[in-house]
Amino acid sequence: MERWQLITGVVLAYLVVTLVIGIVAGRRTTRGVTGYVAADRQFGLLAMYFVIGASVFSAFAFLGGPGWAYSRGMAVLYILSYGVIGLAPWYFIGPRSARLGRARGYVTQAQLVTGRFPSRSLSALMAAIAIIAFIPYVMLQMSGAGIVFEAVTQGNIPFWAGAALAYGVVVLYVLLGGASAVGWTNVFEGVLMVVVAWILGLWLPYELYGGIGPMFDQIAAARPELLTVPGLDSAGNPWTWTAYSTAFLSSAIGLCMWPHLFMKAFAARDDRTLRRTVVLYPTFQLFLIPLILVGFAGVLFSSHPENPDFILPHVLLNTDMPFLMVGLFCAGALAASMSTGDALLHGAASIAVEDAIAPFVRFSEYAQRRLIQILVVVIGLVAYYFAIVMQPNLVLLLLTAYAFIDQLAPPVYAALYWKRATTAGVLSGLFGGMATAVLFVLRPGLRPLGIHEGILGLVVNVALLVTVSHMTRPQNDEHASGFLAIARGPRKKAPDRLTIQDPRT
Amino acid sequence: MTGRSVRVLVVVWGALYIACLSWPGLTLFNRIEPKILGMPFVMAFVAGWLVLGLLVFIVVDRVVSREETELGDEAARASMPDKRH
Repeated sequence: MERWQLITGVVLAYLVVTLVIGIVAGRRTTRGVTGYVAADRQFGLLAMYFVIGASVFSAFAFLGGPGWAYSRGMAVLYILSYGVIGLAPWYFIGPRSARLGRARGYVTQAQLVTGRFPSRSLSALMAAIAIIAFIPYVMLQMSGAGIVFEAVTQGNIPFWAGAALAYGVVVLYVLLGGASAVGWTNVFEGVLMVVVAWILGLWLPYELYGGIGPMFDQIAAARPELLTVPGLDSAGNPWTWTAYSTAFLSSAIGLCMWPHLFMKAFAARDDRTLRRTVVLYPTFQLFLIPLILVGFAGVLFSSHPENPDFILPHVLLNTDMPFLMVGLFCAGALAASMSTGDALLHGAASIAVEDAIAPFVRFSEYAQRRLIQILVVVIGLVAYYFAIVMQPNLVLLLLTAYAFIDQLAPPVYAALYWKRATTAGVLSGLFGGMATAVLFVLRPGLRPLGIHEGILGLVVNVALLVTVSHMTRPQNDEHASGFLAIARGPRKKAPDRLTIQDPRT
Repeated sequence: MTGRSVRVLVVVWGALYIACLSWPGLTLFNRIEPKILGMPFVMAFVAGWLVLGLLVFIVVDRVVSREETELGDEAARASMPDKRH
């Protein structure tokens, strides 16, 4: 057998295992929307840890992370930095959301926000933002899968076939198993991608340079500009502190606002599980370090790929590695892509139905579930078509997606914490913030001081939220207080000093 | 440690994190040497903050979980039938 066939065999084995796990997992949930979208609110710590970790880390982390280290040096550190601080707020807002979810039956982020700020336009707008941000993100994952297959099989399995194979499996298990399938396949995919990353990242510097320290000594001698922050931009010129810092800030603000992550608060078994997921998350984040080391290992490598994002497969294929390792790397890269792609497809379909359609059209839970399943297939096909036919500059699209996702932060925080916020305030802020973000995405040259467009949108968003809320009538006190009381959960009561103590107790 | 002071701890850690891992704080630690575990200092510095985050949240979670258990016990006691009659 030829080497590429053996490698493909390993990858196919991984795909079959993933599919089986997804289908079996899906069998255990109920037939309604809560089962399909929120896994009956039953995820324990193992599932939550991997659902969040593996969904956050996608093909961008596995291929783009090393790609950034290789071509942009320590600019990559912003990606290492923002995860932990980005997820930290979820320690508090996750349980708040979950309590409301249990009390009021919410399964999506927009249901939570419109539960506090009733408005079908707001629901539809939030759904639109989510889908606008999700589609390029899914396209990027499909592209990543296709390119990995093409690279490791040396073209024998072309780009379009690799993407179709990997995402055919994803669509199938998401269709049949819903959130539960996403959760349990993410456990398997998560373990695989973390193990593969650590093995490669520790092995490669030793194999090529005799160690991690020696590798950086050699890079420091040849290309010292790569080893300090802010590193380089995509053209190879020095990156600016402003760009680095605002990319970091924008990503940190937006991370837990991504609807496909946020809605997992509704899938957790209890608040303790949610909190522990956040506590343990840094352990997952650390796996970016070996991937960064792999990227740096490519800097002084004997040959260079055309596209810096493919430094990892390039180095692997040009180093003497057993086919099993190459197969496992390929499976790991696919796992990184699929574990994000499945949550995105599942999330996009759920949000489209629950937030953009159901508020306007009455239909049964069973019909809603069916429609979500249909949309999983439709959205998958649409994204696949665009990924294959258009192949646009997806990394650029992804970075701008954060600009839109950031705008979801003020409505969510206002819903959970600010009593004086009104529906008009939230809607104005969201519209204004989105319009600003879109403007600066289309005309990046207009950005003052080169500040990230997400941050600029947030300034307008928050200003409008606060101003318009104060200019409009406050919400009904019972409604707002009731909502916030559920969010807050049980609190220690102050000792009541006026009751007379019963001496007998 | 109380639930209140835990929130303060998180906010302080969060503010320091942002200050130290972007401009201007990071400029002070933006060096290659000394290397830690083979990594350039600035990279190890960032990794160190991740580990600190883990430790801070372990402590925070201990306190919050203990408070949650106490509230659960209180609620259970409050709903117990009055044995005096």
